[in-house]
Amino acid sequence: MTRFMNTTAMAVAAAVMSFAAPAMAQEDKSLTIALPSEPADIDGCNTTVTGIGVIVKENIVETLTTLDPNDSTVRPRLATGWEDLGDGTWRISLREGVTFHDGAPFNAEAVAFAIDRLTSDAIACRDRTKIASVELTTTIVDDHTIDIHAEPAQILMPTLLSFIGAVSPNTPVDQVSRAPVGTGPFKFDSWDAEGIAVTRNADYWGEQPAATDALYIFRPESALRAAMVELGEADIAHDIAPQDATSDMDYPFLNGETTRLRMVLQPPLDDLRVRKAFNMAFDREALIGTILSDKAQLATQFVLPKINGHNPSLEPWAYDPEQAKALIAEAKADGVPVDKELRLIGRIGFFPNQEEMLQVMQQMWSQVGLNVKLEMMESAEWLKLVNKPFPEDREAMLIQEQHDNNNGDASFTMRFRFHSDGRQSEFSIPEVDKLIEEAEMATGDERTKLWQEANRIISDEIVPSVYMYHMVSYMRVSPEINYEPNSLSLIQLELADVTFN
Amino acid sequence: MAYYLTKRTIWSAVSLFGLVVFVFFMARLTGSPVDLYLPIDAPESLRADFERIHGFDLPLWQQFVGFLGGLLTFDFGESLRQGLPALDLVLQAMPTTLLLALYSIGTALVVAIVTGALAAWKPNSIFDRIATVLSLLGASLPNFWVAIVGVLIFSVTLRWVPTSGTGSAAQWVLPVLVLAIRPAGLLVQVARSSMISALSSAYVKTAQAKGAAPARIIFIHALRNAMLPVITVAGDQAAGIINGAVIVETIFGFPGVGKLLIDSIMFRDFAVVQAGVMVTAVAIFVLNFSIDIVYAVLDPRTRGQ
Repeated sequence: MTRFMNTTAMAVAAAVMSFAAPAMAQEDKSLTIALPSEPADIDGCNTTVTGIGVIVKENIVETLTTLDPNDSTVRPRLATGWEDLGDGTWRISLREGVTFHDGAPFNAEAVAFAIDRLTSDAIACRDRTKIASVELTTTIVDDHTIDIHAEPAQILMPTLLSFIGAVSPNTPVDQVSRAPVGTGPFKFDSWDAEGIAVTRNADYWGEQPAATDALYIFRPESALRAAMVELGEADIAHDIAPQDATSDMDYPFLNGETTRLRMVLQPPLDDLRVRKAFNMAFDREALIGTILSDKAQLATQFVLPKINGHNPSLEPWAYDPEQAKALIAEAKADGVPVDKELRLIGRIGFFPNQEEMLQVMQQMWSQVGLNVKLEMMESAEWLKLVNKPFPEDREAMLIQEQHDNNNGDASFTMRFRFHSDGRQSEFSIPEVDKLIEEAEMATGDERTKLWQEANRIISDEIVPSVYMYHMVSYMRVSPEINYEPNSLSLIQLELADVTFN
Repeated sequence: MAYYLTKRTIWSAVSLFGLVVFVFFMARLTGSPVDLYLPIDAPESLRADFERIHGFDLPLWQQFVGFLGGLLTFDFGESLRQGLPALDLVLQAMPTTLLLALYSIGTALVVAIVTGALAAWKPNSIFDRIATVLSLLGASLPNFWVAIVGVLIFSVTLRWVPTSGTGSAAQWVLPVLVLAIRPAGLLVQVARSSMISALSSAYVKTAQAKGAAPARIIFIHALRNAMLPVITVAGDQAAGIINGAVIVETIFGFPGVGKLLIDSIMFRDFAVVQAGVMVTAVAIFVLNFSIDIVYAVLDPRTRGQ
């Protein structure tokens, strides 16, 4: 027995030694980042996709401008200045003395290449979504100056530049890249069964980051990601579920996502009173600090407080089940089929505890006599319900959605969801259409006012949604390092921001 | 025997073909990859380009003809996610899963045979009762739960093994044990009942009468005869381990076929799903084939058939 114990102890010691290695490696300043899922690719023209951007954006491939995570103002990155020449043309000054990881110089030609590749129909770059229906043409002025002409003219050109990643001119134009080459502080190293590895770029134009290299690993279980940081196997773990975020290593942050239920405006939801009743009978406060983080905020509109066009005068619906009942009774007296069972569609995988949240909402509604039936769907199935063309015989239902707009302006939200020709718009109201069209063309305070007015009409008069929350994520950060998550951290986690204790 | 095996091979080939055709159409019923790959607000032109580049704009029958043509040369097409040949990806991932399955079923068999045999020696003894309760528990606990609890106990609390990943031998411990628990639980029961009937047989009584030692009776005389049902169920369980591997590999970040299949299904990477199903089916076919041969070795009565 003693011998058996000894052998066991030795095996345990060997096991401990074999994984003590990453902990020791921390002294030479390596980072390990645990993410929930492995991306399909890590191309510099797909960085608006969450799982891709978090690795690539500003680490490997840099964009021309970046947005400040706190107030969404545009900051220079590879572009040092920009000027509106009128007629839709902007003149962009580029940073000098920058080279790509493969040695190619960063210049006007490289920017022209990156824009051509991004907009090419030979490769379906997902960042094209952000410059949808805009034709970009480039003219090289000199080595470090480029004119970008947009058709139609783009007031938000400096913001659009934050979606243009400078990939090396040697990147294949007709193939999605799994080994991106950019100008960033980290170079792509390898992608294998273990994960994606990057190393510090010694020739970086800016300040050298503290970390020498980083490894991205993929673990779908929140509890396991959290345990990895606790044990020193990882330094940062993304997307920790509230029930696992139990230590002082867990940092909550508003992640830029807003969740709502979209209402399909068929009987009985074509009746404004019924839509209001749904809003009044939902006790939003009750879920905060229970199944949702106590840092989550009540949403009154899809546009976040820090984004241009957010209307701060809108109030969340007060919880008033009595009033809700009265409205339902009134509608019923007018022949509205309020007893009809409505589908409440949830989409699996938006955030932790969401099914529980929808169950609670279903319960609250049943207490005032509203009859909904919860169905959880996988994303492919859910997508069939949310995009036009809608089927002719579409019935009333409530569909859970989550939307993030971290791009500084309401235009990335409004037309798509609320304008008659928006692919996800449930209604067609000339007044709203007009406001959206005018706002898109306006600048400065005028633009802000028009967006705010559109949001007021939608949230207070049309009531096509049950707005829920501006959402919170948790990130677990090892006490060995310093990193403070911000509202962009889910899509852009700059390794250069990490320092060591 | 040779005739029987040839007949089985032909039938298996036919059903494999049917399976792949079925998966081809079923996968496409679950929705278009376009919606999953592109952002929800992607413009129509981007969607059209994506469909054209990856051939989803062709009519289904044309996609199917292309797929059948590829099958003849074992070409399953390219992975949508990774742009590499689908079959290569599956074949790269296969050894990891096979090793995982082999270690797990090996562990399960050893545990089951020893525990089952000892439990059967004195039915209803304390040892037997404890073994029964534990084995039933093992057979009914879901893998994903055992995996997370395993991490919490052995990694977080005791700090014996790393939580996940591959590379060192220590990182195999948890996945193998988690995968072994279910089949072990079931096999203990099978081994126990099979041993009880073997131990009450005439030849065991004869051995006892001769004064053979209990260990010799259990492990030499009775065990070989009690093995047949254990092997049958173990074969079945080994195929089931491939299912369990889907969960365990995903949780522990193990680069096997299970994880590859789940990732491919989530992304509607049809080529890889088809190649994965095909290769897994072939593996299960080979496994069943091998079990037949083991039968022949263990039980002389089946050899002539």
